[in-house]
Amino acid sequence: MLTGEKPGFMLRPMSARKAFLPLCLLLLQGACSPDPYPNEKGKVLHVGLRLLPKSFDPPLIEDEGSGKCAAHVYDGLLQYHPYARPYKLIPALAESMPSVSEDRLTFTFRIRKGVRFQDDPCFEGGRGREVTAEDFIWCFKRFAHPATGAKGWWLFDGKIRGLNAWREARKAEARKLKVAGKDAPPLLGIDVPVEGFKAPDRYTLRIRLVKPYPQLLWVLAMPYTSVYPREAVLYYKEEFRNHPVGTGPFRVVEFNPVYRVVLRRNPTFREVRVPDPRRRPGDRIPGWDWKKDEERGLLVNAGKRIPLLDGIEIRFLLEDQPRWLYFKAGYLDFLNPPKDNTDEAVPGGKLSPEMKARGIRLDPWPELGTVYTCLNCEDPLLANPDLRRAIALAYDHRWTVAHLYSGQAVIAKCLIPPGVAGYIDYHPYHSDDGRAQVERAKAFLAKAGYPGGIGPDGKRLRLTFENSGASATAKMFADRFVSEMRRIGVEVDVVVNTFPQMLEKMRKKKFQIAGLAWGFDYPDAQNILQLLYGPNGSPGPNAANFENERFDRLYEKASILPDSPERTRLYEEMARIVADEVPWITRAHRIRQNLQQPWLKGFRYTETTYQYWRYADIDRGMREGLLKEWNRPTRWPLVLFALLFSWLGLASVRQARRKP
Amino acid sequence: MIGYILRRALYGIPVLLGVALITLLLFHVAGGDPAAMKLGKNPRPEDVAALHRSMGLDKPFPLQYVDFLGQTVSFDFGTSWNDNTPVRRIFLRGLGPTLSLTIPAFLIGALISISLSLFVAFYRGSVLDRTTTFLAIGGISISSLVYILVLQWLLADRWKLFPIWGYEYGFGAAFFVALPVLIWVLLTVGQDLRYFRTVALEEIGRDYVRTARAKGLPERRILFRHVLGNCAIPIITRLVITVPFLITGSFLLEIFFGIPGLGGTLYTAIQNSDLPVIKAFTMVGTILFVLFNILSDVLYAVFDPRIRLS
Repeated sequence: MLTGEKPGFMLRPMSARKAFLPLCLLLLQGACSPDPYPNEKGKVLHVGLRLLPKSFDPPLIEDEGSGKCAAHVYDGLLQYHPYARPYKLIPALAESMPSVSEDRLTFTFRIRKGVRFQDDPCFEGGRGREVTAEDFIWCFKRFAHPATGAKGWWLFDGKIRGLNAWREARKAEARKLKVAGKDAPPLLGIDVPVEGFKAPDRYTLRIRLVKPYPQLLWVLAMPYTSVYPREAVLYYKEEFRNHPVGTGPFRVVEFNPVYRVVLRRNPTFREVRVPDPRRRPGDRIPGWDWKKDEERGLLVNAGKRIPLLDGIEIRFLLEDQPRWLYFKAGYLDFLNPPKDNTDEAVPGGKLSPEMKARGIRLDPWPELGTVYTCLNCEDPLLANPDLRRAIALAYDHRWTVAHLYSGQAVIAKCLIPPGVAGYIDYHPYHSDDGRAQVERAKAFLAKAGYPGGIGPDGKRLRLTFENSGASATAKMFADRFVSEMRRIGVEVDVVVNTFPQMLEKMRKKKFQIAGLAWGFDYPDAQNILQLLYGPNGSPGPNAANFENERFDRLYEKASILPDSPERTRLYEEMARIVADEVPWITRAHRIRQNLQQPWLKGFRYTETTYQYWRYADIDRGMREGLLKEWNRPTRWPLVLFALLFSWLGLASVRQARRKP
Repeated sequence: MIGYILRRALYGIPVLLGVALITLLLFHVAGGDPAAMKLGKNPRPEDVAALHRSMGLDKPFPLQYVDFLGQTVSFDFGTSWNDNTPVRRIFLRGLGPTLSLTIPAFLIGALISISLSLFVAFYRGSVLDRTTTFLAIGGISISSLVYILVLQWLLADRWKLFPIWGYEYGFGAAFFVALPVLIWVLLTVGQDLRYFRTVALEEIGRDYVRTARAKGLPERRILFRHVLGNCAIPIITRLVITVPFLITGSFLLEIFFGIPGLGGTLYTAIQNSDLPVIKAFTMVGTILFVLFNILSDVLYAVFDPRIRLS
């Protein structure tokens, strides 16, 4: 109790005011601590993504954000092996790899028995039922249905017997109803059978093709072809995109598309174990150097039943700084350092001493993709191959790698990345070390009819470069491109576009030069070569509008061949044509430097597939200890601020009171 | 007064029509083709055309404009082109987190800037006045991005006093919005302080203050009752005009600190050419701006009986 009896202990009104600010600061400090999940239970993998997911509906999953979130909820017939490189497919919901007919037109899968969908209110009694071959057929038909608007339709387009006709019939039915003034019910006619999909019995699925389609198996490991119950689609309708129901090891308990996705262990997940090649010879698949992976410590969880984690929490950290700081504080379990932090984390491609001291591991992953500059071959100026060659020769690729990617890339001399069948070390318009060849470029420019950059009309050659986004990297590249071209006497105007603007210009062929990148959907060179196939010209994916009869012939021949030396030879020939004709200036194959916290176990990074997360484990004790050690608050600044402000206030009041 | 309010509301209609027209025009000039993006890799031309039809992008511009006005009147902007979520739900989903950041920041900022401005005006020329003026001018000269980057790094990463990023719904939000609120206050308090100080100084120099002092009224009473009361109109105008921006949020703070609010949503919508979301935000922002302008006029009359609305 405050009284006037003991002046020494009395808190006078003035003192209370003086104490207010420090008190507030101390309270604030007490309320705040840096740990964003202090009461977490169980083993949870924390992931930070820089992209927002759009949908959990498999046919609509094309973007990286959605793919990464959905990969743990759904399964397909096949999946990528979590550790093997080069990539290998293994059965997921299929019992084994399919049997293929001699003409390579029929694939027969046996479906695993006893696999159940996750429990969900969409089922009677809330208990997930068993997956059958009919479920796959229904999902494939929904994927092809025009009302679904599947993003990956091109993967099935013209490939499955009867599927295109089936799709057209659904469109015609919808049109008919529209003419009659009626609304087409959702998934109209989905129960009409398709010749190419058959289920002779509950656990057998037969897919019949129009022509051999060797990429089909990769396609069947993509999210588009995952299985989900029709009950969920009918129950949730449009909301199915937010309420996924699959067969995977995790189920969604929270989905906030602008903040986070929370996944928890699916208690009804089937028995799946981490590959254990040492004890189970059946797990030794051809082409997988498992001993090497064992030495690297990747197989620490070998033989254990998955999931080893209790949950996964995916947060969407769109900006680089918070994502990096969050990882450094230990709140994310793995991360590719943002470009501006690469030098801090992996200078020269090696872990920094700070990262090493923290026990962080580096798992570099050469991206399966190519960054390139697309030249519109239908443009009246760029239709001239010598002009395209001149532009390619004038470009300094060393600069791209050193400055745009901070050394975390290799110069792309071929459109096919190294390690993928079809890659050739043939680059007539790239120097060996990526240096610009200005004199050669000038010679080609003269050959093209623009000596010194001056055209037949006496005017300087002027081109337009379409840039996507206004990021610092995009601007750096555009500025550099302008200066490179100026060195050979060509002026370049830069137009900044949003990505949709850029897509529209390409679709309408209203561009000359554009900076683009392609990430492989599957590890087969066909996936990138299709971008230069003549009939795929704009508005199709061949944005360069490149037409070369020989290339097209080779592409058609290769597209029906299985993986073989013959097909590789055809791919190489196509790559050679591209290198000679220069519809693209291939710039770089990026390398992702994946940093992993010391408590993360059995984790091999890739961006080709995301299902490998389910094989990971976490040493929770180690994580808790290190998080405490790394995140001790520093209190002295608060005290200092409190004292400073109190003094300032007091000094002012005293000074003012001294005023007459 | 009712007649005045109705007349001002009618004046707002041309503003809304103009904003709608400019929004749609800008989208057509610079928005790109959302259909190409929505259909993903390798879309077929007929699928693009069908999607254009379903999005209403095949209609002539005047018809699209009329549709837009209809949506504004009914407050139904359809679904997002990006993820098919109803725009209304997007708006409601983001409103709570945005307000949990902006309302405390606004209140704390207003409280600090008003009381500090009166204080420094009263003690004009003191160390505190000079220091505050110096800090305020320095503060408003620095970009907001610098504040965010530096304070996030210093207070959250180096000193570990706040969470770096994140959000929890409910009371847990206080823990996560503390640092963004602090930054918002720092960002706004400088400008407000300078303005309010000028207003207060003008009032403090008036005769009635001298008279009140001569009569022996306590300084606190003079300052907070008489001076503040007479400063109310410019202060209210400034504060009321700020309110619509509390609802549209701060996209930088939201994105950097992981607050799933409306500012970040609008930023993402612009990136994705998501016209329904852009339209909704633009129109809601404009309507709020018009309404709060009217409100500030009405408050004039409430706070100053000499003013009559006519």
